[in-house]
Amino acid sequence: MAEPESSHDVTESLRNKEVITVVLDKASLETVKMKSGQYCLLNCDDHQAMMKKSGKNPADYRPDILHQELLALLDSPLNKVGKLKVYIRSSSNVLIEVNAKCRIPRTYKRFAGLMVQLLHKLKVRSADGKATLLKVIKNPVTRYLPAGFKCYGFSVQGTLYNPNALACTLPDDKPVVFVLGAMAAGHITVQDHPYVSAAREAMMTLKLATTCVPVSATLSD
Amino acid sequence: MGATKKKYSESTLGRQSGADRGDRKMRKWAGGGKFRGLGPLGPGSRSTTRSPTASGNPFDAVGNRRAKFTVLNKRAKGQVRNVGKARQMAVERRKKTLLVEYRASKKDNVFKDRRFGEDDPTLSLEEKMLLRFQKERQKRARRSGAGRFNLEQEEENEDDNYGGLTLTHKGKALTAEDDYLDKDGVASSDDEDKKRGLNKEIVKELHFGGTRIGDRKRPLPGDEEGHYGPSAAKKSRAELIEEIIAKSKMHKAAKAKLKDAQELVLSQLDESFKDLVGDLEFRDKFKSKREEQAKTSRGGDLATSGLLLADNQDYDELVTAIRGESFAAKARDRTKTPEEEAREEREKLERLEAARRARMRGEVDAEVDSEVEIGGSSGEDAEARSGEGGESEEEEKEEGEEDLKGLGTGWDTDSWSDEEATSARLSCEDESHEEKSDSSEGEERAGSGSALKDVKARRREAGHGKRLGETERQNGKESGAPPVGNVRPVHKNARLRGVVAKAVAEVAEEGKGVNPRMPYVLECPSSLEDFSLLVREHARGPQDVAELITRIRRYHAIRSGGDRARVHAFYDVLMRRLACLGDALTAAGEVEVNAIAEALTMMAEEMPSAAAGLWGRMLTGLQARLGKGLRDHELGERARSPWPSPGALLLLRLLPRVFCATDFRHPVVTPALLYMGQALTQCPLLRPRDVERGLFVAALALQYTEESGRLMPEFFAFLQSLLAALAGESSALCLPTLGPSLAEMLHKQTVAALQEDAETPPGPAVLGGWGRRRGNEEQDLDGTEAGPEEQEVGPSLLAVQCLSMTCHLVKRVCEGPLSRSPAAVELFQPLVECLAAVEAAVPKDKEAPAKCLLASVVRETAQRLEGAVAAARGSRAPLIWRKKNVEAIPSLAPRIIDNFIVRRDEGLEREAARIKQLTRQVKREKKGVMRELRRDAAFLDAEKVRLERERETVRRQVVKDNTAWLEASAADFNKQVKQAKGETLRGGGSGLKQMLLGKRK
Repeated sequence: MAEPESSHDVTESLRNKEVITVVLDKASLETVKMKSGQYCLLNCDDHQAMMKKSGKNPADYRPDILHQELLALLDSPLNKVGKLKVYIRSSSNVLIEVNAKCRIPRTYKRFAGLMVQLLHKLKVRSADGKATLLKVIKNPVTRYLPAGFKCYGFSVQGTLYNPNALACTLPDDKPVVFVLGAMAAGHITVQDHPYVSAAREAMMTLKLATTCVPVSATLSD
Repeated sequence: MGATKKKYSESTLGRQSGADRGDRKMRKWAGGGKFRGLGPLGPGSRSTTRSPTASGNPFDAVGNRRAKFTVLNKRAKGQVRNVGKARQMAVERRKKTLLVEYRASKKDNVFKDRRFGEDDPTLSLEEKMLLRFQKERQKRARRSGAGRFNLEQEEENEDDNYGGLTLTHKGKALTAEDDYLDKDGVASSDDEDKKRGLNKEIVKELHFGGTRIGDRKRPLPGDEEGHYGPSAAKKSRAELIEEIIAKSKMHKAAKAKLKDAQELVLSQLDESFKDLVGDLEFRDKFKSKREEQAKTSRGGDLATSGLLLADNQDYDELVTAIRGESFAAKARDRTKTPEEEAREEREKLERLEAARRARMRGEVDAEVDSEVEIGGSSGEDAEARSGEGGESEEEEKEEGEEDLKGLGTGWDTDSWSDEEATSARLSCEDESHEEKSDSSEGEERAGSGSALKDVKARRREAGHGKRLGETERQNGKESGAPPVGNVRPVHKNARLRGVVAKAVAEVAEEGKGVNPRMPYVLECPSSLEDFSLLVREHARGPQDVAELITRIRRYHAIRSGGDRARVHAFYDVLMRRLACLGDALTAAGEVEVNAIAEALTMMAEEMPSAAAGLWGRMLTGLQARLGKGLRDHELGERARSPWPSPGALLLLRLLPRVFCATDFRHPVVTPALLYMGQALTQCPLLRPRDVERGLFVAALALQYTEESGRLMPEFFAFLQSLLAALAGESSALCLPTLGPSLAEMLHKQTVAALQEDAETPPGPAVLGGWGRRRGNEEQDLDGTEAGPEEQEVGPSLLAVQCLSMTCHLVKRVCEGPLSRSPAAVELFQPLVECLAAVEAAVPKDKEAPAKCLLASVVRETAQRLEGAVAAARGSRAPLIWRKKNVEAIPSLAPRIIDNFIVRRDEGLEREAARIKQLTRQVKREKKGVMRELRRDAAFLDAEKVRLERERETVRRQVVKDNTAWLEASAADFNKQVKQAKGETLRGGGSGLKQMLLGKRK
């Protein structure tokens, strides 16, 4: 593990960095129609019976992870200064672009409602209707990633790095992309993301839901 | 945009569906019925869900409805559909309908056998016929309209001829007399009354309609009259109504009957109960309750038990007793307004004056005697009235004693030979909010404490007479002095001062009791002379003067209707008197000073603006005098100091109590501050008394600014200058006004004092004196009575006093609000350096002894000041560059639709949505019809083609058969010809062959 450096150095190294892109992969965004006619975001807590009936694995349906990650990312100072770009890719292969101005609802219930709305209307505007905050976009995600980027994948099986140290080792001349998982079980594989250049080296052992906080905090220092 | 959206979704989803397809296939082949009925697994999967159908061909089971989004548990109509099967069914349907019609078209008519029961082989011929007949009847009944109103009467009429149709047998009516039954004798009647043959009932029940064939044989179980079939249910309307009416009547009658019976029983019961009542015994409810209460209250206190008396009588008595007592609140006098109080005061004084006059004239009566007593004890009265003042005086005494204890040594006023030293000593009164203590205080203090005080008190008593003379002499000597304290001409002021001093002295001689001959109602004096006359006339002592002032003030109070102009004049007189008293510096004047100060304060409350004006005029005078003094000083005048006189200092001391000193800008206080600032920085310091006055002014300045935390740079400059002088520093730190000889003297004295041991105090013990001086005006005045000749200050006394006073002021400043100012470091640092220099003034080899009190005071002050500087330095935030302001991007809340429902016409009005839906339906139907017609046409075409092909096939077969026959016959002929070898037969063969060949060609 690298020696942690002072936050001042980290700040200096990140000061003039390009926008950092984060891809939240394998997010579970599926809708379900209830008996009442209401549409809900499928999650393992509320729709157990339905999942059992339809033979789905409850472990695969954890949209709350995505919620937490989005909260952590979009509330981070890094995002506030406009140095963060977030994409969501669901397990059913729906790609969503997140505007940095988007204020993610603080409660899961409202978040779920927003996601259902997004999945059916393909676009969510701001309250004043001027800005598009969430949008379903065309696959694949590589067409939106900056040219010549260096991509880091995060895995629970990789080598453990200190976030500060990692932040210092990020290349200065290339844009950086992080691929984080928004799933409860499973892995992000290089097969799915052949562009992850530093996969083997930089797979970091960090809890998925809590990763975003240190990452964003470190990067924003 | 819609197109874009669609494109995106399709492309997104299409890829996905492609990805999913293989997976789904696998499942399909692997799966049992588990996946049946599931929706598409990915958004936009093109209705590719195929469930294994009964036909077993999975390719048939292709839905024709595309789901736009993956929604679990959502089923769309047409999502799962077996197209192959549906088409097959459509073909079958057409074969049954369209094909048949097609084949039948342009053909003969078809006989349709619609006879009843024709298709039913189970029916016998008879039954069939009966049913047909029945049908016929029904048809007719429907057609004729008679069946619609199937009333009984008509039916009865019909019974005879069956609606105009008569059944006949061989031309004879069946109902005729000669019935066949009669003829046969089978149904010959036993009863002559009855009609012969089928009677009406039997015909009605058993014949013609209503009854099914199967039911005919068995009677209905509920039919009482032995009717066959459901005749009971076939009652007519009239009958039904009658029946209902009859039934309701019957119910009513039964009810009435029942009621009557019940009433009868009830009355009987009541009668029997009356007999029983006599035998029963009842408990008195109220009585028992009272007993219970009495029982519970027996253990309680008397009041409770009294309230809960067991008897009514007791209760009544209690009520009467309570009513007798009067609990009504009594109104008290309301609080009086200040005007009313003042008026009462005035009336009282008038009354007392009248009583006094009466006494004077010898008209004493019983009523006035009481007044006399009041008059006699008016001094006490006054004291009682100003009870708060008395208390505060006592407090002050205690305070003074505390100071005494705290500082150890007493204050020797005698050491102050210079009359103006008073001013410097006055400056030490830092917290005295009340006026001076009375004359007895000094004596008390003298009795209470140290030997020094004893000495002082003795000296005061002994030298009383002498002092008077001295004062007079002094007054005479100073008669040529410029005006002090006001703008009056010099000679007049000096004369007045002399008069006042004399009067004060005279009055002081007389003692302390209030003169009983003093009138209660006095003329309001408009000039100082008038007032002096009044004093001389009526006052025997300082108490009398105080009483005099109080009486005048109370009688002429503006609130009680006093003349405003005269009161203004009196205020001015009092101020002048105060200044004169201050300048006169007599101990006896202290009580008067107190009274005047009180009067000035109270009257300023009554007429604030006028008082401010008078004070402003006073300050203007002071300012003018200062300016003149400074100019004279520049011109070389050294005899007279431009520093404010003791009287002026006294007035300045009083000023912050009359007006609010904490205001940012005040019409009186601000000019006073400016005046003091000018005095501190511009007045020359040539003599010791200049230093003393300067210190007094500095202390006053501190008092003015301490509470508001205002910065007065002149104050700091003065202290710094003084400290530098004491330390013998270069004149760079000193004010230019400080005389070099004085500075040198001060330095020398300081060095000497610091080297001395505290246990052998330098002359009189002066160190603690500064702090002890609070509120002790009398001693100030007293101590300054000594003439200039007597000003024998100890070798280092002036410097010691100066140093300790400066230390005291510095300590107060560094504990005050300025220590919290951001500029505290810059303000205090020069003082720190100066104090360090003072400490360093002693040569190293002659180190000050550890017990030197002065040195310890200096050290303590320096430590405190350094502590304050350090604290201020520590509280300062370090200077940092301001960070580049990064604009945070705004956070926008998404528009969340509450109760989001996925619907086709979401967002439209209800009616519009309906219309849209209908339009869609019409379009769909139209398309469906067109499709059906198209397929019908295709079907018919196919049928035609098939028929044509069949026909062709048949034709070809015929031709083929014919040809085959011809060929066969030709071959036979040829064969025979061949066998005959042209002998018996000839021909054949080639001709036919050629013919046939030619035809083919």
